[in-house]
Amino acid sequence: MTLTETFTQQYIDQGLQKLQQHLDHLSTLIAPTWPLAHAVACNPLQGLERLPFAKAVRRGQELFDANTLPALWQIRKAVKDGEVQEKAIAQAVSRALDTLPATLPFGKSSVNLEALFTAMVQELDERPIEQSSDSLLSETLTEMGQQRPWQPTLEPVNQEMITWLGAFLDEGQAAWPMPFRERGFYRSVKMLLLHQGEQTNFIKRLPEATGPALLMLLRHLGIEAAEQRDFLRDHLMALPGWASYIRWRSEQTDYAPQQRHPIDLEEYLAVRLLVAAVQVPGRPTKAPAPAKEWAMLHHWAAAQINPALGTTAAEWAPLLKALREAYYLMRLSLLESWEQSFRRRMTADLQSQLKAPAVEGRPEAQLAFCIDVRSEPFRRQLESCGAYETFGFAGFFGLPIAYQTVLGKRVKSLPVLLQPAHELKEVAGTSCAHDLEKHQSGLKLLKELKQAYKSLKYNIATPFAAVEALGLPAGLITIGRSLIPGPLSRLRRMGRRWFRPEVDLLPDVAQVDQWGIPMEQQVTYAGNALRMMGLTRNFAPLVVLCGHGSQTENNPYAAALDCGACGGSHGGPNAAAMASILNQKAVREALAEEGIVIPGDTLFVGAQHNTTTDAVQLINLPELDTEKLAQITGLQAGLAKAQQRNLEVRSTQFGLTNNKGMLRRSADWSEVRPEWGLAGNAGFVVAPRHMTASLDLKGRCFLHSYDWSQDPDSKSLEVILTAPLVVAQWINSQYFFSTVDNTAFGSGSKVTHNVVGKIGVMQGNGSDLMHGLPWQSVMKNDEELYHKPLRLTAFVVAPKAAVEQLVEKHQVLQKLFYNEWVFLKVLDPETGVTWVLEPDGSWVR
Amino acid sequence: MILIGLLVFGLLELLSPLPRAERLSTFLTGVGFLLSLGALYAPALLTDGLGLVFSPTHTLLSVVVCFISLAIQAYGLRHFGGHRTQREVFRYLMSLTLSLVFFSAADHLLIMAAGLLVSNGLLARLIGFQLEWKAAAASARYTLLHLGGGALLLLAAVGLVYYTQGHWSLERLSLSVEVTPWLPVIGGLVLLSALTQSAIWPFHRWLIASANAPTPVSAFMHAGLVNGGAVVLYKLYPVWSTLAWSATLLVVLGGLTAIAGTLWMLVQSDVKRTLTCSTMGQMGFMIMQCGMGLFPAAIAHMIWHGFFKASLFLSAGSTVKAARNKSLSLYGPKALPLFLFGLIIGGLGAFIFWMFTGATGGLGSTYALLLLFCGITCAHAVMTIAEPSPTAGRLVLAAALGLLGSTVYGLSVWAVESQLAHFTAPALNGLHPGIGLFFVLGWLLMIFRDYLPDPVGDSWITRIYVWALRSSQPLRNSLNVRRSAYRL
Repeated sequence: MTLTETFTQQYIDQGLQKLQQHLDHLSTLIAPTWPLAHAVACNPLQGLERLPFAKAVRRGQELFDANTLPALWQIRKAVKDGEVQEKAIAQAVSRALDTLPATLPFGKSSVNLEALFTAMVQELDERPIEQSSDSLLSETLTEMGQQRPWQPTLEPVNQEMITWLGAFLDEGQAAWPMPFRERGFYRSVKMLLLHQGEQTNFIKRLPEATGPALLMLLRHLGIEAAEQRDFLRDHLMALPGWASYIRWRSEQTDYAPQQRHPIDLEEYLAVRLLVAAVQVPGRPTKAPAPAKEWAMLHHWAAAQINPALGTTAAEWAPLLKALREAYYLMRLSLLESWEQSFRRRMTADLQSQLKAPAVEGRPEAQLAFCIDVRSEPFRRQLESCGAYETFGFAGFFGLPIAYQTVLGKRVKSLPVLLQPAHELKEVAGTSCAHDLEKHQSGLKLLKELKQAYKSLKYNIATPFAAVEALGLPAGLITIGRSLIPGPLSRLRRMGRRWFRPEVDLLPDVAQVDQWGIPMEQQVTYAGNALRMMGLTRNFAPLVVLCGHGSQTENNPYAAALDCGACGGSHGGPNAAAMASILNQKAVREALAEEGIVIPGDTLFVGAQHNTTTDAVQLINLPELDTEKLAQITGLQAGLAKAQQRNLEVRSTQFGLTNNKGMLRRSADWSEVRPEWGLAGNAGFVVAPRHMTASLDLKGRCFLHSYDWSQDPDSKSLEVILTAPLVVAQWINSQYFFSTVDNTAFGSGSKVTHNVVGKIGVMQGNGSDLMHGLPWQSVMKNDEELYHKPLRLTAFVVAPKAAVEQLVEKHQVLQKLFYNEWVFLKVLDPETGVTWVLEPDGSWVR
Repeated sequence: MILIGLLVFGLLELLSPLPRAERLSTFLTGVGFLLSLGALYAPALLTDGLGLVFSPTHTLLSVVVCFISLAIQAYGLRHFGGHRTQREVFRYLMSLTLSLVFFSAADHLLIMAAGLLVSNGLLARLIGFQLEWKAAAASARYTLLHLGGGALLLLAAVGLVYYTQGHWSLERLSLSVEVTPWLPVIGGLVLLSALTQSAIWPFHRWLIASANAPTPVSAFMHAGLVNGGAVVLYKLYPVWSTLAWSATLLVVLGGLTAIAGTLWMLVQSDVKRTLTCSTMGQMGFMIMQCGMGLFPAAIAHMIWHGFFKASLFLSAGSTVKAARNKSLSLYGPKALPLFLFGLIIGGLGAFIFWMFTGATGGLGSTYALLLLFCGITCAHAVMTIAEPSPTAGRLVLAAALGLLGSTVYGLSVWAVESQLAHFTAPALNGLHPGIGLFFVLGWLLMIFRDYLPDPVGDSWITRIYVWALRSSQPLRNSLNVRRSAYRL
């Protein structure tokens, strides 16, 4: 090896090392996005959670070209509705003036900032303002160092990337999939570009490995070492949605498409630079589009002040900067007022209930629901329908399982925080085992017929005659689904039932070979679950474990309505599996030794709460004697009554006067708001149910049952705070950011959605992968918010010392509480004092 | 007249600030649909006037327009729920319905062409219903440029018809056309306007760029307006069919579009462009049928494809859950017997089709190509149904479903034919067998592709893929290359 070669090698190694550092740093900025079918909520600013909220939203605003705080028009709505006090507006202005001067010299005179800020908070409507550039704005941004020379190339590169990403990440839309995908993203695109026949000599010279290729492309594009990080960041953030999906994919080592067709952010950047070098020749002369906040403030300020024609960038920049600072400070202050008023109300309510009496006597039935915010209103209605006691518990019932369906598909049925510890097999319930074979063959035939229909569509010669044969039935179905969705869906269900009889399916817990759960662990899971929900004595004759799932038609976001944590799984199978564990004699005997004595006449039943229709379906009922049968019939009547009552309440949330038409929503293919999902969430209550039973929490709180007196070593509380609470924060922040900026963090209007690759949606002809929630999921209509963008507050009823210890022990809690992503209020039941955890770690009464 | 009255009334409702006017207009459209359906059997129900003639053909088209409009409006009631522009969208939808009824039922040439122009303008406005969103505005502009231009050409053509023939009546035109030197110009204009309307290559780009439209608008467009080309060709048949080159032009461009659209459809990764490219292919097929003189079949194709495509667009949200899209591939020892079985049933299917529609023409005419497509499709259906588990029971089921499909196909073409004036299919020329052969070869290539050499060594297949993927991209300014440029 000659000296030069050694030198070159060293140079490359150094470059690669540096590059790796950049990539490691940059990839943490991007939060993962799950595919639609396995939707899991995620904080889009997850990468900035190590910063205090106030700093993180500032950084996030720059990184994602986004609004990261509630818009002023949204806050003014809240003021009008009485959710934010009027005086908060004046407070916000004075907070801005704490750090900014009241007047600012401008040109020959000066500008009264105080008046300008007041006008801003009272009048600025962000929506209709144009975001285009003009010469003053563009000069001002240059003056402030906001423009980088490569920015104009980002959009042309995006255009090509949308095509390549869609083709590569496709999971079954294209009947003719992209070739060479098994080689990885960079190499497959490189192969295809070679076949296109442009600049083949240059492409052929590029290394096969992504790292060296990136280095060579950076050099080719003329990017200096000092600029590399900014350059790569801008490229990574140019299509934030796609990047965040790739981030997710790259971490899923057990995800089949990723195993077959690997991709990660490094490959993605390599392709971007390859496209920039090959497909976007020359520097576009067009000026880059300005960041939208700058543009909005600029146009608003220009309309307010009417700067003279000769105003220079140097004069304009200080004013624009001051406005931006005030815009940020005032919204932050108003957000805090909004949150405080919610917290104050909630704390007062909870405090009034500290002495509420616990349930005495044996209830008719006990029902455990998921902590999901949709459970709370239903539980309240149910409790009003009879002597029912309810509990809140994580809806996977503490069973970390994956199961294989009767068609051989593997379903992970647990929160994504955990990995499945057991593989189960789905079997038919005891009463309907004889129908299983018919069910299975019916399912299989149906699947194959659908496949046949697809293959008729996807051929060069057959679609023409096929559509004509299918035209009349398609027309009738179209009109039927639009005009009479309810009856038609009942008809279809009947048809399906005829085709394949309904069978109660549930994962089989019994241990056979590598399947199932060993007995000792069944006992552990059962004991833990009962202890955590605080159900260890006074068992009712019926104990229902109730998972949940949604039921919607033609809805790409169906999985997002299921559970924000479990990746689109329904909770029923876990509930049924846990019920079958708890009904075993051996398990009960072992539990009795641990001090949990379950009476012989207690029957555990799994169930599923349909959150769209509020129907509760009991799963796998065994053969019953007359007494039990009467109990079950009574319970079912109670559930039906609760359904009607809750539908009544929910119908008002849709602006309806009665619950007629509520059931239609689950069957209507044109419905954009089948249910409100977890919208409205703002609180997380850890308390025994009797403390919340007489409060109307309006479906805004996650409820986790917890009895501190039965948890001397804080084991249960530790789990609650480090798992369900963390998940609740994911959900809360997804709703928060989807509401405050639906373009950057949400997916925009459903009306123009275009599903891509079966994994996500784009807007219209093609766009960034629109991650986050659609506009219709957080807004009542174009003017009124349904979801109120508030950060989550945890209300914990437990001794302060116990909570304090847990916060000190867990970094994840410190990160969330100290950085104010979540607020913590502890209601100490022993002293009756309410404690607040401050960002600096101190506790204030 | 009653129909028009109803629709105008519906439109007026939408202009007033009535709270539930959308529901009322949907209801009125429904009544209009029933009325025109009734008129198919009791022609007195819809009386002529205003330059409109409700002959059976025209009534049939009105039925189709009202039916699709009804479905779209009923869907839009909830789909646009909470949208500040819902009322506006309904106003445009209702106006569009009205202008389409004028277009399809007009006997007066000027009314027909003006109806098309107005419809196309309204469609462009609906595509860009969110004008603040620059990409949607670009799509709208592009649609207006193509379709508006096409309709203007038609206006020019009917103006020339009046200039040379001295009247504005379609009916008189169908009785006799006076041969003048202007005829090739008129014919050319008519053909051009039909080709742009149905997005035939090289006028397809507006269609590819149109997915920024709200889903129901796309459904209306793919089920209704884009089919206008066949209606124009059908109605103005007398002025262009006498030109020697016209049929060849339609067959060649239609065939190319059918092939390109179908190939493009196969490589798309998003559902709306998959559907769009598929429409393009179907339009190619329809125009090809027009070029072969198979008008009843083309009109039947237009109607049934419209219904089918509307339902697919409206259910485009279901694709996440649906199974992956795959085309049939036969491989291994069971391939050949299955293939032969499919061919036999396919032959039977074609025979059934012939029993229903044989009046159109014999085996020596272009009608033979229809039989060929029916046979291939039936055979293909049988093979795919039987392929996963070719047991005796499954073979019977496959054959039964395949033949049922052919029966339905035959019936639906027959149902439309019975409403139209009788056409006799022209004799085959040299071009037609070539086209048939091409599709048969393409079909065989696709189902036996696993016997082909490995694509890695096979660069021409990759080249076709890259070409199909890249040439089917929408224009840049109609694409949302920057996230924050999207506007709600």
